[in-house]
Amino acid sequence: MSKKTNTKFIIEPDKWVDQHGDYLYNFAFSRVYSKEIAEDLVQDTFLAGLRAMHSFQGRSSELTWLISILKRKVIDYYRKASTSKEIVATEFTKPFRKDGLYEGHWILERAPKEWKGDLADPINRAEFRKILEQCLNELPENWKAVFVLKYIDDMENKDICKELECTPTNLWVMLHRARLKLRECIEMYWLR
Amino acid sequence: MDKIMLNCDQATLLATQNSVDKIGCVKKIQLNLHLMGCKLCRTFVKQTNQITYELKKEAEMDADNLKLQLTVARKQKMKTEMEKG
Repeated sequence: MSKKTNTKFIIEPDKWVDQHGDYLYNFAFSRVYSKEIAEDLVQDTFLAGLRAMHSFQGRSSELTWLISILKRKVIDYYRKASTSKEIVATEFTKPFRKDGLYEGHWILERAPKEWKGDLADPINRAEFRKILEQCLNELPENWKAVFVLKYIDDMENKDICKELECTPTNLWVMLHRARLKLRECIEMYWLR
Repeated sequence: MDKIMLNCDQATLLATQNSVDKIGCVKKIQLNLHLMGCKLCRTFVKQTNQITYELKKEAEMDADNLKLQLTVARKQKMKTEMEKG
């Protein structure tokens, strides 16, 4: 199933799965932190790539081109997951006092504690990343989406808001709460 | 005084904004002033920076050293789906 495009570049979809499957899989996983979802996104990417073969112009490598399709699939996934009406509202409240003289101050029981262990040590790092993955998956999908799209893909706020249908203020609220919840979750597992 | 001195809720929000966007001189000074006097928020900043660092490192792709692998069965399924479509 080799095909020459009219610009003389060869595109070989029958080699995609073997040549690029694992790379795309790792890329997808690092954005969605679920093996199942990552697998589905990779499959969707290959199928979309097949349909769009005629538009491949050899300006980038096949892999780069496939990655750009995958990135779009990731955003689509997060958009659907974030705007779905079945979003479970989290019970997370911010760890700050709500009223009184010390309004806005840390609630002491929930305030950051020192984390022991040097993360440069590979064993600690592996443990930390396992916990990070676990805690990311405990975030509501829309918070996770904002967090990933912002910190890994450096997406601009306005683009994130367009995709996830939020306002810039919503976005900061979600990002703030996501970071607070994530940090608290990681601390809980790390200090066990 | 309320408008100048941030509380920790405001400071951590600013720290988050500062980690991804420009927040401007005034807010930066406010944030740093708060951090100078608040160990808890300093710890928050240190820890969330660590989290961001590890997250980004995880997302770095090394083609020669891929952590995860699709199973043979899953690859076969993908090929089958591609042949259909």
